[in-house]
Amino acid sequence: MIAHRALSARYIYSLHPESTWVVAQGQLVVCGEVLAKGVRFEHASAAGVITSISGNTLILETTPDEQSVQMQPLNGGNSAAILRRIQEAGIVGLGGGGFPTHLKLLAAARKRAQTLVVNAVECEPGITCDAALLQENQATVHNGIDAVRTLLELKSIHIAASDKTDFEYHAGSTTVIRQPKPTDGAERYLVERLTGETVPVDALPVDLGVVVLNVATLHAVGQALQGVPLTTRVVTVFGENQWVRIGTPLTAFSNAPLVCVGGELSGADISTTGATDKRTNSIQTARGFLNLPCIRCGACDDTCPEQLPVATLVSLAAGQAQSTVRDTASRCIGCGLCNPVCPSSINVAGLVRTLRDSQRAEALRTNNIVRAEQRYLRHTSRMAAEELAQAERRANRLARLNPESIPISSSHDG
Amino acid sequence: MMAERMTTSRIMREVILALIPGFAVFAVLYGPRVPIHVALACLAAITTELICLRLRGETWRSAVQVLRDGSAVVTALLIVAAVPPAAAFGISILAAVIAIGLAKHAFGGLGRNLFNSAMTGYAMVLVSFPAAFSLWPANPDGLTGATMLDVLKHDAGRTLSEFTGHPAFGDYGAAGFELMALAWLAGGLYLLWRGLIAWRIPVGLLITVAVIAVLLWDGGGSESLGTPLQQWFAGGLILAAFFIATDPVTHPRSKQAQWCFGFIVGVVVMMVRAGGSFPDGIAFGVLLANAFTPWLDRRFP
Amino acid sequence: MTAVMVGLAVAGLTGVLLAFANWRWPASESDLINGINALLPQTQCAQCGFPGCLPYARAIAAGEAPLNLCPPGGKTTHEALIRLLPDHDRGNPPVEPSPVTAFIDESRCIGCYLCIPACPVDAIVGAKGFMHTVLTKECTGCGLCVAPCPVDCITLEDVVIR
Repeated sequence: MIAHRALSARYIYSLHPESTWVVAQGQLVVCGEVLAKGVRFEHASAAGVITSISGNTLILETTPDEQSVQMQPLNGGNSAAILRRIQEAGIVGLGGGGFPTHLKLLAAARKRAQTLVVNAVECEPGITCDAALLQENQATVHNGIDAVRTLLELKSIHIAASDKTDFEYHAGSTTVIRQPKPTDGAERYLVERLTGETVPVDALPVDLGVVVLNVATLHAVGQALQGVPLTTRVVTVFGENQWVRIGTPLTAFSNAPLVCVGGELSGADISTTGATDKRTNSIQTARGFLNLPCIRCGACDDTCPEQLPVATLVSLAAGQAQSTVRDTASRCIGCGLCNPVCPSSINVAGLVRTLRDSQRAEALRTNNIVRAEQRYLRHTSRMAAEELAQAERRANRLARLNPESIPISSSHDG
Repeated sequence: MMAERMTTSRIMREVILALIPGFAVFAVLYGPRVPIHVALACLAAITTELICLRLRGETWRSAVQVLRDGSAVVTALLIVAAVPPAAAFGISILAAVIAIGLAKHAFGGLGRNLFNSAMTGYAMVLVSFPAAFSLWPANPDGLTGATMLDVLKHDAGRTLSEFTGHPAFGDYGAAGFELMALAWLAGGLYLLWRGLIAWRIPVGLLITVAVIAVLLWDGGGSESLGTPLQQWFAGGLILAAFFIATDPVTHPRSKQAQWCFGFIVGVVVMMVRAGGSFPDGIAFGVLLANAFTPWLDRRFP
Repeated sequence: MTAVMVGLAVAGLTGVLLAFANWRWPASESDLINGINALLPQTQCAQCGFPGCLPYARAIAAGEAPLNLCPPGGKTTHEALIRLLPDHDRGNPPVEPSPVTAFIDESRCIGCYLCIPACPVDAIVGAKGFMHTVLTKECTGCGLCVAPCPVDCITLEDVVIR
């Protein structure tokens, strides 16, 4: 049995820019009550009083009564109802991506996706929350998959699991990946392994008609249909799996100033002043990078599964070089294999991520600039054409009024 | 969970380990001056590094931490391996100071130097005190004499078979030199096996040298430079190929770039051996190739 | 002596080659103008005092304007222009405003069509007598639409960055 973490004294929630708070400071809420609405819904994960809403952060101080509220169970709903329920339950990708699940499924429906891949591979060392969840809550996961089948006309269902579970949706649906390598759970590689299709670098699996969902996300979908909003999830806390409420302050886990969230390879060291959110799937000791000088040994190049010029990207990120390989940073899958091999204890994956983000921002900026220039040119030529047409109309009008005063340069017949 | 993490100090430790066979032969053949050079050069390197780190704003404690990466010691060892033991001790001390102070820390410290620091120090003392560098003993008795490359260069009248009769030589390099080159080779192969050096560089270097030796071959006559194997075992080529040119900070990253790098070093070495006034061109070859590294990294990312 | 002669000869030969290259493949003025324009953010807001980015680029190429007149371009553009033309009058770096987008208050818009031709990138849609609205995705935040509106229904709002 996965244990439930004890109630914390307070919970902290973040508002996504596309949502708005629907509660006020001082308000009493119960567990499961809606805190924010929009593309992403947020729910209170415990009963208590809202002591502070400041900008994007809401703080809830708990009361011991543990009251909660649920939605009506949704039986036999149509696609629209199911999607709405998924949205209103606040379900986002629990594998770490945090993308709104209802939008993902909507895109999949539009692209007529026919293949579902349930990702329970969990290749990051030290994290076992997905496997534990899958083993204990098979019925709910099953219901979640059923719901997706209602939304999409699926021809095949693949479940990628480690050897810690015996879950099968139907006979032959599960592929067990023993001792998975840290890259085995990456979406692109998983799709290729299970379906044989290669996802192009600048495309998503859904473009090939494949939708990949984390098993915890599907579990949340199953729960949502029963009326339970997303307020808690399984997290591997220093190796032990627990049901952790969304928004648990990180100080509840460790006294250290930093903890590693998301896995020691592909995660990040974040400050314990924050709290868990829906994407938090593990809490481990912070890596503590020393960030000594790079000796250009190339160990990071050798470990990269995408064969990126990592060492060059590191010196780019440190501002030490100009390079034409800057745009390869966008191919980084974030596996983090480059970190443990660095002799100078540099946060290589973190640097590449920063480079990738700044490169994306720059690409967006350039895109916008190019677009604006095109529109400007079209605007100027349109205005010039309109002025010309206007002048011609005026000349016509004058000509009709006063035939003797036809300008010699007019280009029309009387 | 994961394999034991490789750190810079562990890498340097492996390199020092790989240098031990060569240094052992070195000391046995050429006597107690070798360990004295080693001690003095290491001391000079460490002291220079400490002073430079202080000047750059580190505290004494953090400076000592930096020292523990072992790179200063490796630089000193490579300098001693290149300098004739009969040379004055001040030569290797000066080379070490220049290497650490100028080539390394003036450029920003570990990982930021453009030129191989050991070779910079060595090249500066080489051109400043050229006489000291022909003081390689011809045989283990410690008598000073010419090196094989010296003889090849300046004794243009002799044919190759006359050379191999000369007391300086075994069948390939000079007898002592052969042994040392083999010992360096053992260390180099160890580093290759451990995956600590980029194999394309020594292989590229040696192939280039061999090919040029073949191209310049004139059947063993008086003008030739010797067989490829003789060229390989002459001077410090094996040491350079496996320990010096493979310094990761100063060579390019990608496969094609590394082949080019090895090629450049090989070409310059042979140009100097064939037509320059210095008997060996390893330092110049490495330094010139270092100059190409940033461009090679850009051209072959 | 020979060294000096050789050096001079090499220098002279190189000079001849360069002159020939300059004659055979001259750098055109439009290359320069396009090069400058490529560094500008294309907001066409006229804050530089010129009626668009291309006119400003022309002015810079003609030496008639300093490099620091573009607020939307901010420090990035200023530094890029300095890199391109290091000897040009550069001035102090401009202050970059935070990104904004125009927003039409539809309860006030009278459909007068005066803002639409004012927008240099055609980011406002509408017809005479019909509601006007700003296409936020296309709006560069230049603010040229604000003044022409007779009922002052256009405001510049901070852009929410996801």
